[in-house]
Amino acid sequence: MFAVFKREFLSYFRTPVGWVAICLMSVISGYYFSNMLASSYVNIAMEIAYLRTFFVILIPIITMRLFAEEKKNGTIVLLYTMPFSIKEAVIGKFLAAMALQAIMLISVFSHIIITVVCSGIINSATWGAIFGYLALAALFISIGMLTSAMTENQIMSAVVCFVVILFIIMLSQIADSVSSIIQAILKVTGLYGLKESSIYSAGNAVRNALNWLDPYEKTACYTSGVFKIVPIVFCLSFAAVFMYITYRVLEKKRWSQS
Amino acid sequence: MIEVSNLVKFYGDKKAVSGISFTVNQGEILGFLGPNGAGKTTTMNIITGFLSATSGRITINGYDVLEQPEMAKKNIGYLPEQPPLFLDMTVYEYLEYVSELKKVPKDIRKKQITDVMKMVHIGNVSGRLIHNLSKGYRQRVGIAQTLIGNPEVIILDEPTVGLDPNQVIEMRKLICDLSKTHTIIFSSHILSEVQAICDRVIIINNGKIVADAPTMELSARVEGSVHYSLTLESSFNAVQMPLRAVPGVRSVTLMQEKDGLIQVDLMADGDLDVRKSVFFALARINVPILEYRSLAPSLEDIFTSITSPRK
Repeated sequence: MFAVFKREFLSYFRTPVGWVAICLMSVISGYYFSNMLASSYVNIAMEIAYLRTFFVILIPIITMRLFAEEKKNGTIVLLYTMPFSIKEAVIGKFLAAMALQAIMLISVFSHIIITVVCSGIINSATWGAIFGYLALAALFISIGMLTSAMTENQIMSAVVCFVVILFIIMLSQIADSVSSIIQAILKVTGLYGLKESSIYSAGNAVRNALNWLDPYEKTACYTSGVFKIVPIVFCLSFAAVFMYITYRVLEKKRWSQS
Repeated sequence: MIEVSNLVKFYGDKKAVSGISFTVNQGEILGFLGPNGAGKTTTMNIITGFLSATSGRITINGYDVLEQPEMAKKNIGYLPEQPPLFLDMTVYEYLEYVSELKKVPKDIRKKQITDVMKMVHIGNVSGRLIHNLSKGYRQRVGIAQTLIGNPEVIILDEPTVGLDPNQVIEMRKLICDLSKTHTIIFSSHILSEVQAICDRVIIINNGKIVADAPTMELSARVEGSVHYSLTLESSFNAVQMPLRAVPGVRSVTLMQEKDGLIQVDLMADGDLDVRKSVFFALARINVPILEYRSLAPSLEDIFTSITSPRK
């Protein structure tokens, strides 16, 4: 596992991918931080919350090549024919992408230092936001890894990952729309002969169910300095599920009949 | 060493491997011969654990590839047709990565990599990016990768494809050197290559073994017939009957007809030299011979020879 981690992590810096991701993150966070400095109000937790929306671009960039490139170049044979389990490869690659994500926060840490030097406030909300950021990153990296394992085309992998993350970002809006649509359908068709209050409750139940799946909503508490265990368990559990599916997708190749 | 029994692999409705069984003994060089699509690569991929068989069983040194994959894979070094190389790594970094994957103990890792590089003559390029290496060197790095961890079995899938003639000769020499210390399964669709290297040959066609014999025995069977190519200034109709009438000639086939010249493929019994008789038969009907050469037996000849009843 460590061998895969080391190779994958170093390969980010042998190609432009790692550098581009770090630069992109530095530019975005630098822009936000300089705006805050200009307005004399610095809140690093807000900056991190802002950076979370850029997962939709950054995660596909750093995950698209994880398995797709190995499949295309034929190097995936090594992972299948070496005396170790594919599970170790999945974990190794996941940790490499996570390590890059952590390094990408280097600009944020420099902003923290500047804030401290300028007697600004760094509190539990800042550290909580970083914590929530990494938990979300773990979830999205596992999704990116799965899309990469499903194809040998890196662009396809990136596009699918982008769409999935975009869907998750828009989940609360989608939940509202779906809830309204369901309420409208029940009202117009008079299906099941429900009362208005019941129709309203049904719509709300669907909205709540979809919102429950929203990791952004779940990890928002960290930004306000509230520490809860549930969002971490939520993100890491889903990350584990997606990693397991990635493992199964790769194992399926062995049994493939096509 | 390697035992393959009743191996079957389906790709959809197509049976790529159809009940193959064979054994490879320690120290043997087994040639796997067959045309493209015969099932050679599929069989090798199954032996190495890259693919799973639909049914059948494979054991390497007594370890079942399916049930004890890690133990079985420890005994195998595999070079697929396209070497699995990371072009962004140097040769040394790549071999170090492979040795980590193969769980070579850290204290002997460096020595083993150095020894392997020496063995396949790539020590002079150890610090170069694989991307900048020639095809021949890349193939050597691929072989070096198979030797890391000192596996007893080396499986090479068409290792000479795409190499120039000098590189092919070097590669054959390297495989012969490796055979002194390893059991080797080597696939190719080139007969002469297999004849030059292997102790034993398995010929596979349409997913089935059509022959499994020592190389010498197989050659003797192939030499049961010989082929000649003749370029004549005549029509095919004029020469067909006189040539067929020559004792020992089995078949006469028109290969090409152009500008009053014909190219004819002639198959004759191996135990009878028909060259003089053919010359006189054509002289009698005043047909000039512009070119007369014997052809090395092709894979198709072997299949024909092996699958047709012997005289």
